Amino acid sequence: MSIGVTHLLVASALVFGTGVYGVLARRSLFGVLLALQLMLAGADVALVAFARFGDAVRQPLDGTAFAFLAMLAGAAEVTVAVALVLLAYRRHRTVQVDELDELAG
Amino acid sequence: MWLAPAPAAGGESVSVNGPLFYLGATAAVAGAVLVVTLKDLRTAVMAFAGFGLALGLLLLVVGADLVAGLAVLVFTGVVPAVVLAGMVLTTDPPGPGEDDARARRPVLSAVLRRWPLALGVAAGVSALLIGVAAASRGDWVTGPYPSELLDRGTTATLGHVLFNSYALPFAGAGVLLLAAAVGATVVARRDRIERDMDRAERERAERAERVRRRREDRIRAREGRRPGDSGMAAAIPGDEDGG
Repeated sequence: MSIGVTHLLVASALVFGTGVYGVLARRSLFGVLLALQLMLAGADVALVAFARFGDAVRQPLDGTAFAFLAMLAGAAEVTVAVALVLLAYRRHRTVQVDELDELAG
Repeated sequence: MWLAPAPAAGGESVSVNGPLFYLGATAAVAGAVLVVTLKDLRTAVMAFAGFGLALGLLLLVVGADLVAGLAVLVFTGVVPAVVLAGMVLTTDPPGPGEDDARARRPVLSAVLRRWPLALGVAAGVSALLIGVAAASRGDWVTGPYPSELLDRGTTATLGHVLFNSYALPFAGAGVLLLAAAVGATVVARRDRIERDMDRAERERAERAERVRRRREDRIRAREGRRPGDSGMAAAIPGDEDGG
């Protein structure tokens, strides 16, 4: 069986769904951050799949360029998110999301 | 012209190595599952690095060589390094037993964060995405992939596209990275209030230490005098109240 766009989209959906599970089930902010990166990686796989198998004649690399820029944005997101986690830890002395239940204070 | 499709390209499935694709996809999904299920977060970060390698293999098999390299750099290098640095800077890093029941867990969170519900939501999202992909099968495929991209790789062409068609988004991504670096520095910096609180706490500890030493000196001085001499005790005020 030849590999097509559906195969890549299934892999993308599985990685994205795993990330969703991690966001909901993890209690550490760092674990939630890793799960968010999994969701971003799943979206990147889908973008590359559409670039490879989708409109490959007229715009063969638009999706790839989009995935490239999305990965850069993801790197920036990680940097800011870890800084926010450090700030939350400094204020509340915890990185467990269950214990961060105050909007101010 | 690189945009022209190859006459004998043979459709959308040409040149994708099946076994390597399944290897990369299986390893990526397995790595993702490990990332979200391992109790020890440090091990989960290592699993995330492995996931980055598998993702790079998956993207490389599909033909996106530059994005595959970037994925390895970001998901195996940047993200684990930054997350591990953050875990080191928090003195209470969640390790083994991070998912243990905690006494202060709010009721709503305890309900929302039960893993069966999370698993159900994740399975639903995955099933929805897979269903859409299966229902629209073939609609997105408009023609064969340009053979030159398969032969020479996508790096040169992607560079051409990024610096021509997407020059502004590329510059915007650079500005975003700079803003993120500056913003992270500002957010993570200790502000004046925290410095004042730390200084007050340090001064309080030093004051308590001085009181303790003074009290010990008084006790030693009292023990060194003759019994029945109350003049020294009267000359030391504040001894009985504990400082």
